[in-house]
Amino acid sequence: MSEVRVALPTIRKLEEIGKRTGIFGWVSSVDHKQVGILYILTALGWFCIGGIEAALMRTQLIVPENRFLEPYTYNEIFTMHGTTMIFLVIVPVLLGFSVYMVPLMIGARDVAFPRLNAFGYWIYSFGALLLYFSFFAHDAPAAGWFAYTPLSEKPYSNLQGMDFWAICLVIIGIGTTATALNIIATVATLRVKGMSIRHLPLFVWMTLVNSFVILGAMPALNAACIMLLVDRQLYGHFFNANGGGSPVFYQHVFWNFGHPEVYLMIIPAWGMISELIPVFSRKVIYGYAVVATSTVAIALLSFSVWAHHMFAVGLGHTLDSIFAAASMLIAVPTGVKIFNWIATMWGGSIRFTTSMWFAIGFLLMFTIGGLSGVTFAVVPIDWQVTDTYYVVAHFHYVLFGGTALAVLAGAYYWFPKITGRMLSEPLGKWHFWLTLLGFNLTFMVQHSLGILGMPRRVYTYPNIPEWNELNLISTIGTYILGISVLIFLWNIIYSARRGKIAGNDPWDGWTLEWATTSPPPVHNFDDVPPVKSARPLWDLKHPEDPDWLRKSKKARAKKGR
Amino acid sequence: MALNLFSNKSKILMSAFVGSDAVFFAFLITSFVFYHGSSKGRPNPWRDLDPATTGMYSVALWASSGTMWLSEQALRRKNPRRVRRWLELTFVLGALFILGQCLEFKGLFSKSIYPRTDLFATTFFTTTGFHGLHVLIGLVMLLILRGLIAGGFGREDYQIEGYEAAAYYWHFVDIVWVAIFFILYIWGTR
Amino acid sequence: MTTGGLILTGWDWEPSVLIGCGVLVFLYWRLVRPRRRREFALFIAGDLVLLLALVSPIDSLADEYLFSVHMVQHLLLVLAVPPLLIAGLSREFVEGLLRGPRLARIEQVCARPLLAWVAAGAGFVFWHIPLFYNAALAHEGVHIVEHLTFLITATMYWWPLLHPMEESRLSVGKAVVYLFSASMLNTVLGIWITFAPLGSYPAYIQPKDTLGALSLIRDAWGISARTDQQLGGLLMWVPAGLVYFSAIVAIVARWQSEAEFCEVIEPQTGERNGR
Repeated sequence: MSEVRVALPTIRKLEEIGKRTGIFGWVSSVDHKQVGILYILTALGWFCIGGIEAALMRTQLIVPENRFLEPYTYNEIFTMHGTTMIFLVIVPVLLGFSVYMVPLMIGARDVAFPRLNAFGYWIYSFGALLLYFSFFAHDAPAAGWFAYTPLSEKPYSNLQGMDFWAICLVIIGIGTTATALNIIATVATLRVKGMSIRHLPLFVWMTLVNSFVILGAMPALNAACIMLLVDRQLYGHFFNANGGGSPVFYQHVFWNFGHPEVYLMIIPAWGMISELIPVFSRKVIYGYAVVATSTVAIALLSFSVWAHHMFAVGLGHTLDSIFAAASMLIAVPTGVKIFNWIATMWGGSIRFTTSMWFAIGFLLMFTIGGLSGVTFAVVPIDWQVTDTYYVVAHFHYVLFGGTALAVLAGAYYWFPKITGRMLSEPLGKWHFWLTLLGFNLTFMVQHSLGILGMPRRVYTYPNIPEWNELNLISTIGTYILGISVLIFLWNIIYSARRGKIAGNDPWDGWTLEWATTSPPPVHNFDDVPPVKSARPLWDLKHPEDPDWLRKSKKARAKKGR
Repeated sequence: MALNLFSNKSKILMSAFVGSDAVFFAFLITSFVFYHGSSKGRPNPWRDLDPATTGMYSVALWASSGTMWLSEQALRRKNPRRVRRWLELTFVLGALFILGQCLEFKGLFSKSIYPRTDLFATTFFTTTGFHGLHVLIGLVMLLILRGLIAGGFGREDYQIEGYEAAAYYWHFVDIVWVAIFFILYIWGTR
Repeated sequence: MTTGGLILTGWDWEPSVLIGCGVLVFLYWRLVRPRRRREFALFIAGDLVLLLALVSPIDSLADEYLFSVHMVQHLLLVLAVPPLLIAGLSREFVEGLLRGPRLARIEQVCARPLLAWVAAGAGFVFWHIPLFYNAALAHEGVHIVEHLTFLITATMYWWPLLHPMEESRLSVGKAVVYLFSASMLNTVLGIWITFAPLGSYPAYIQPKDTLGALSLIRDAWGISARTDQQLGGLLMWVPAGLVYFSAIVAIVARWQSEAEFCEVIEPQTGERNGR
């Protein structure tokens, strides 16, 4: 009872905040749901801009010897495309879903530090604007998204573009760290009674693991950016070979961040997939403990394999061999996950909603990306295809075919919860199939281009027979992808106003967010259902066969053995 | 009073943040160690550092961790007067350290040693400078705590926990300086 | 000399080691009275690994020729032997042992996680500082002290993780932090050795070559002094890190799968545990 008495004033305060409307309401909001929506929409906006940059690049490459863009502009655009998609789109959109969904899924009223949450969003937002301000300052960053020295050093990038890049990445990194800290504190302290940390929904669990990865990885990026800034602004010698510094040191520090970054861009996406595949297959996730544990294994391994990004630098055979072996290891827990998802679908009664289609697309595309990733662990192959379009194809299969498809699946799954209306299914199916078609047209052929020897980041290419056709196909694929994005945008705008009313629980879901109204009230829950297993709503809907009872039967069986 | 790190959301937040920040310092210190000896230009650039003087200021910083701890104890015992006294002393000791660092930097500048001079100076200034920045932020934090205490903060249990969480940061900054001092000034100037 | 010849002749049947390992097994047999086959096998495995690390060609190579093999030896002593030996102890034996107040007191102090962590970390780092490392190579006595330090501190380190009485083990969260931080220390040391200048461990640059195996190593195996040191650092950096990581994953996996058989929560009528 005492808990309720403490909570009442909080509810009133929250409701007062909820009454604020208009722009001021959004700007001053510390409600995790509003901050989450801001995160997601802002990331969507930058996704469109990053996509336009991609379209510009592919248009430049549509025919050989093209003169559509200036060479330097091309460099700026591919740098900004990479930086945008990674730092302004993927990471924030995952954080957005996390801050929106985590409190709901654990039955909390808000995150542990609501103001810190808003701070995290706004500093990201301002960092992003500052980064794009570089275009108006007449020099956008142009040294590639990982800004290798010495190219990013003053003598080779003497305008202010790289300074913008380094400063903005530190700023955005601060926001990311703040949100990760917040999620850790939230999950640690605000779980509803009965939700042990082993009963966390997998999305929450993976977000939690991911937050630790962020805390371990971000400092390396900050250190790299700071050292770069010291070199550029104070004429330091960190990466200046003439002064005794080493450009390779930059690569070490950067990839110390860069490799965990690869995983922190996919782990929450796995969480989404682990939530919605069981719901749409009407089966409990196959091997909860295995999925949860393999995430930890991947998070740990991600910190000890960064040197595989540097095989072509000349680290020596000893280093290369050890890191090749360690890198191949990561494929094991990742493969385990794929099999878990397939086993969950196996024998289930699958409902082919748009969300599920995207999840299935994710499984296929991410597997392709994962397998091409393993090929890079083989050092000779890596030497052959490093910095070719093969690499570009690989990481787009992981980041677009993996993360983006999973996030879209998550968007179709949670849109009804967030807005109270369903996204249109027919439009969604068009969106899915066009995305899959456009994506594979764009990037599948890039594998071949890479093996044929086309380097990445080239502004144009000579008239070579196979290259021409493959590049043309790739560009056409990009345009199809663009159309699919437009369909999605239209679907959002249309459905948010006119979509079918969703109701509280349109998918017959099992986690706590479906126990409240859609959209949830400011204080999230009037009454949280009892939690005794990882699927509290299943227990509620099936009192004759609840999860916790099955578990306790198993436990008795084990004890009786 | 047991040292319970994970009982309170502020403490969880601060321990996690401090862990993350430690990684950042690890990289800066690594850069110093990695480049120690490959600096070109001045022979034996570490000759210009003065471990003895810096050591004196360092003692002030380390002592401030003790006074901070005493103020936490006083807060637990609900003795606001003592809290204020130890907190103010902590601030003075921290400020003394910053003063020492400013004088040290000034002395180096007057010998025309700047971050641009050579690699040793680059790594030295970056590492110590970022630590100094952390101490400065800590001083601001102490001022805020002082203001809160003046406003009657610290009666509720969760406020005490919050106060201690803030103190984690201060202790962390001191511990980092132990590492920096011994690596940069003792190992680095041997 | 050939590789086969080296494997056959490189054994150094140091009596102190043989006696030590023998006494260990004897005491185990008499005092612990193993009843479970698994525990017995683990303890014997630990004893054999200890023997292997100290008398086999690993030791001969480590003492004179190869820094990297010396690292293998150290990692076996720190990461393989103590966990296996501890896992071989039976719960009943330790319970009986801890009934003695003095022993219980010693255990209480030594098994404090922070103390154990610092002791193991400091011991490991200390003996890899070139000054002390080279002293151990030069003087057999120092070398024995070095290995004993490793064994004792590592046993202290693994004890809270593998305590035969499960209720005395570290909780999952603490165990993860405990292991992860230790792996970071190892990693930093490994990275330092990998990239350190070649002169730090001079004994391996020009080995004394009492076995006459130098040409085999340098020419047939193709391991130069540079490669050797790099390999040593890398072994400590990556594979040793993987041991810690595997331990973390094992602990998390065990804890997660326990949830499947967690305590029965009986439904209480009328209870609505809203907040």
